Amino acid sequence: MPLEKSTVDGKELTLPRFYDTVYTLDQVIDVDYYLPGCAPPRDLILNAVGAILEGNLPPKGAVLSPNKSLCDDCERNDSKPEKLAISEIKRPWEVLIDPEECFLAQGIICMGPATRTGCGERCIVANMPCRGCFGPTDQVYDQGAKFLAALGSIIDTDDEKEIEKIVDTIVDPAGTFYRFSLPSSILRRKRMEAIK
Amino acid sequence: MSERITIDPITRLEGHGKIEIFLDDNGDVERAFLQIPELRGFEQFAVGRPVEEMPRITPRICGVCPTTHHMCSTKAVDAVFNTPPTPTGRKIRELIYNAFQFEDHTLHFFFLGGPDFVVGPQAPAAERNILGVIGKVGLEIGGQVIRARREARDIINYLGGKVIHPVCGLPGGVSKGLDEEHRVEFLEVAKSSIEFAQFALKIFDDIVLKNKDYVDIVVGDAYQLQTYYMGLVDENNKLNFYDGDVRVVDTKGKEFCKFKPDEYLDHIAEHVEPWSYVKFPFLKKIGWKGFIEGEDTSIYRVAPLARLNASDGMATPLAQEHYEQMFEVLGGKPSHHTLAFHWARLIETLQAAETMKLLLEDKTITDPNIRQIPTNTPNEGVGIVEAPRGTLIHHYKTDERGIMEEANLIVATVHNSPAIAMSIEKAAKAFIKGGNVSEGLLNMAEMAFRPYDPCHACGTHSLPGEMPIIINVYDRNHELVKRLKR
Repeated sequence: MPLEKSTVDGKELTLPRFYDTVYTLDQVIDVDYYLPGCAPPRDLILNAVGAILEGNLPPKGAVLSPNKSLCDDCERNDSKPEKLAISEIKRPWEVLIDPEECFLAQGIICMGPATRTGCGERCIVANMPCRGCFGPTDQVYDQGAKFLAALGSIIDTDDEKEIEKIVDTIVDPAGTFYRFSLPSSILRRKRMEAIK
Repeated sequence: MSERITIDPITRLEGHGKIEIFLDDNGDVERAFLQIPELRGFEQFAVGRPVEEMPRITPRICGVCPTTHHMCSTKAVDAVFNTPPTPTGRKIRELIYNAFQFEDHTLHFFFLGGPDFVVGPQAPAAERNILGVIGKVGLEIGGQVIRARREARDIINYLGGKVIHPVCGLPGGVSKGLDEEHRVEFLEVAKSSIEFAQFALKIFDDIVLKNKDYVDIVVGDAYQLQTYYMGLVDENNKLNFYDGDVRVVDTKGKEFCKFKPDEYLDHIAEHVEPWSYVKFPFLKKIGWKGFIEGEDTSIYRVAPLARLNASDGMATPLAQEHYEQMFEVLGGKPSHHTLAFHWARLIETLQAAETMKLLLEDKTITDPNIRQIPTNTPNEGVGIVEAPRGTLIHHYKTDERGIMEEANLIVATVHNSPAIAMSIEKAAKAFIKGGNVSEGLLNMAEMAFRPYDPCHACGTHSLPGEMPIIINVYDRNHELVKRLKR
């Protein structure tokens, strides 16, 4: 097993130790600006570098991407019906994905409603749903909770048993709704008691 | 009298590492260790994830080679569902993948490993980087390098959504197809990529092969290591990046074994040392023999030179010419000359470009049937590709709903970790003598790992980040005498 301290041929060698919790950057140091995205797209990087060089930065703490959700800019928004009502959730591998229709309308989980825009909807253009890598907009504290709310409002039934059945088809909600935001969310991390 | 030298972190590679060098009483190197101080935990947090999300999660192992993880992961998901891609789906994946090999190898030669040769191994550190390379070869050539990479990356962008962390892989194919307009446009990119790869080989020839001092370093003993070699080959035993069987040859070049992806555990085992987070793979049928080279070793290498050693040739004609020339210059096959990895890398770059052209000349690549839907119950599967840095293995086990229960990733650079550790120790012993520790000499030791183009974030499935280097020089009382920082 790798050890923090070990001795080989009389030589002492060290390795760093690990924490049991993931921290966000701003939980550890003071952050001036946030460049979102995993990875941040080159246009946003270019804009940020330009803003620095021109001395044209917004107030400290700003996120350097527009403060609205992906759906606002998404080219599939036009095909989104007035009222989204899904009765079944599909995983991306289960269906042939229509390249023009809103993913949620096709019953495919897409984090667009809970995710900040600015990425050019690159995944959508590649015909795959959003997974939330830009994090939420300024008004949203917990990205996962925001998506749960959005999901709740588009499920097409009031019957409790039906709701349960539909929700059961959602796999790995924590890993999907909080994939990029767990350490900065209200949940923060898995419960230690659950691990031990 | 100095006793211990620490290079922490090491530079011009992906990931983190530190080198500890211990001097004896004469100031010669007694032992040297490459320690990898990072660990990610992908195999742990993969558990509980839907298997089709793994191609969108595992690329986060590395910002330099996300495409390779995406592709390998997608192939593993194919195997979990026992659903191969449609012919067109496969062609699109191969196009993305060869474009990626082309641009990633180019990155390494010009930005990471190349500066050692282009600028000179003992040149000041401030010049041993891409800016120094541009200074030497000129702004125009520098611009060509950046443009060549950008055009190849735009192919990946278009088909994969994002060039960093592409998203198009699904079991049975890909999510997005290629239309005729873009086929024609990308075909021109493929043609100029072939020209660029030949141009890079010419630069290597002019700067390295025509310089006797460099050739001496290449064939010299300090950078030699006698190991086995591993790489993917097609049904004709020709080198293939995307698919095939895994072939291993011994120190004399004779085939030792050849196996299918799902047999890898019969052939590869991993050894652990307390002083590094990276594991040390070896050939299971021989058993762990320690950090030794030569006939009795069970250590094997992967990545460009290893692939050229393990195959019977390149799959494309222009690259094949260079393959033959290289082995002639190096005195036969297999070549144990570690610095020749840089040369083999450029030959592979040429094959990648030639393959892109072949794929794009085939009009069936615009066929709309890019995906088939799995009907089998998901279970277990192994995907193997040749990452730029070596053989990459993703092995997934799921429940009947396709939720991950177990993941085993053996990531390219890991296969090389015993060899890298040994190469560094060997180079340190060759260059650091009598307590003489200059920065240039330390770089000669670092030159031992750069040919492998290591990706330690991958190697320890750990966070990529900056790779600064600190050199701590301790005296025999373990008092810090000097600290050099980069």
